[in-house]
Amino acid sequence: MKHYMIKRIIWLVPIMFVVSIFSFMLMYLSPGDPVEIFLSKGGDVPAPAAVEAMKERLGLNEPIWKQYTTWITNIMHGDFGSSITSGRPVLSEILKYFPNTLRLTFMSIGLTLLISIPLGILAAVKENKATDNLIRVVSFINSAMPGFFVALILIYIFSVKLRLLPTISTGNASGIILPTLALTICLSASYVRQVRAAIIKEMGEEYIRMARARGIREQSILLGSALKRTMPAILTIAGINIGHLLGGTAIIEIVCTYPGVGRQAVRAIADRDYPMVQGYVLLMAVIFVVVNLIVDVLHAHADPLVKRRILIENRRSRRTQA
Amino acid sequence: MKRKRFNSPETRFAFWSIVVLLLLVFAAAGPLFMRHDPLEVNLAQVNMPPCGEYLLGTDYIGRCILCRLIRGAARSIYSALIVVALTFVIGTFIGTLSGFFGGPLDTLLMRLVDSFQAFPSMVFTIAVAGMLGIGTKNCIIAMTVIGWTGYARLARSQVLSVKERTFVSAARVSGCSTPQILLRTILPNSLSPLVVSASMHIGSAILSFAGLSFLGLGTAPPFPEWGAMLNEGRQRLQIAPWAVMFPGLAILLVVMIMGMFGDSIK
Repeated sequence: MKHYMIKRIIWLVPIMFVVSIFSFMLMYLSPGDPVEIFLSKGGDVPAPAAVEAMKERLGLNEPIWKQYTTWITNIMHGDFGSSITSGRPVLSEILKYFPNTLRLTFMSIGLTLLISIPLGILAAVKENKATDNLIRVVSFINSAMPGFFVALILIYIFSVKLRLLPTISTGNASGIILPTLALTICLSASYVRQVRAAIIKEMGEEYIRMARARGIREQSILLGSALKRTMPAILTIAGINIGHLLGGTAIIEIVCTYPGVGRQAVRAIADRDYPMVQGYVLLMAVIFVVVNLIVDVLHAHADPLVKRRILIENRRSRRTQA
Repeated sequence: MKRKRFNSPETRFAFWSIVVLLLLVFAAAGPLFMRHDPLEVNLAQVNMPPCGEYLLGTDYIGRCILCRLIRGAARSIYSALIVVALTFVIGTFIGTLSGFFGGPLDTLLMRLVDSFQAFPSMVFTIAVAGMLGIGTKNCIIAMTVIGWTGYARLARSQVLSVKERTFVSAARVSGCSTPQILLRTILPNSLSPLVVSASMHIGSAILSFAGLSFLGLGTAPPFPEWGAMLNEGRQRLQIAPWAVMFPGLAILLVVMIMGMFGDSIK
């Protein structure tokens, strides 16, 4: 296991290197000169002297590789540069909104698990009966719904019609309800399907037949054995989703005017705030990769089959090396 | 789908292929049969609820929502199809090369795939599309740049297993050149899971494309792309909910049809 973890962590180094280059190069994707675009946002053509001065100040007259090394060295020291629009450090700007996104992510994933595990089990137990079909049809429709449409329907029902919740959220207790619900509805469909499929597969296994033959109650077989065996897989999916959601679900955050990092990032993109965009993309990639690593390691720990496979692979690779 | 005569996989596939085909024809030819101009502003009839003249109502500047939906259908659906086709071709190409030649090329390409997959996909798509600038073409480019990796992985693993089969050695022994073996022997035999995966992706591509337009990164207004229509409508959710509901339902319906189609191929 330790060998596996170390190998995974060492692999991260070249990947993060490429990732940082991608993040840095984002600025050069935009057609035209970034500084000119930024300065001419008011509509007038900027003075050449002003463009030159700003380029000089941002170090944009240096060759690209030099700009990159300066940028990455600064980041190693925790300095992601300053936002062009607000002038504040990129890192503190992102960290200001990150707790909101963190809260939204964990509430949504928690609620999703809370709803979809029982529904998935129910569908599996009632396989091919009316309840199962109903759950399947609903989750199929659900999976075809765009997230922003779900969010807008929720706003229409709870804020416009029932006037229960504010349309504009400020990150406080009531403001988080709508985005959480919207994300939960979007996520649940695939979870229900996964739980259902996993439980059905598990219930067909030999050891379940044995347990039944030994007269163990159906309920404890279902919850004690089958669910326990499927949990690692479900939690792995949850982990991957956490990685995605931490990047900010820009669309839901914007629809619900929730102050998260995704909404901030889209604003930065619209403003052509390059240091913000670069820093944001790089940070989110780092978080995503680290979360995925943790998920993989935990999964390997929880699932004896995966653990065995890794051990066998390690032994094989060591043998080929020798 | 539950009716008895649709139960065999072949008829189900035939049925959903026809539905998808009809949808594509309708999206392309629909604008020929519109009663109103989808771009025509009519300030005398703003925010009208669905009625006889405007079957799905009008939006905040009096444009016919039904006509706008019909006009936008082609953009929303075909853009997603282009993305799926491009990612499929690029991913399959790279994955096949990687799996077939192996060695340092394989390592290099697969590390590249790893690096692309190190980004949360939506974050990267939004960033690339945003940096390239507003426009349908740029959204397609951004989604393609992010999307090909899955196909590359799948194609590589397929080719790795097909490569070892006897008929490949047979082709080699009978004097086929490497490109011939790749194109005539290996590729046709590794394609089917890739096609299934591509058909399953059409729906999610439509959703992502609509999402980018919704954020204002896709098709520029006043062109009636569905995601953009939802974005325009949401400001007036209180007075004209139909301007949000119908584009949303249109996306939902099309994605469901594509989902059924993908399922029937499987």
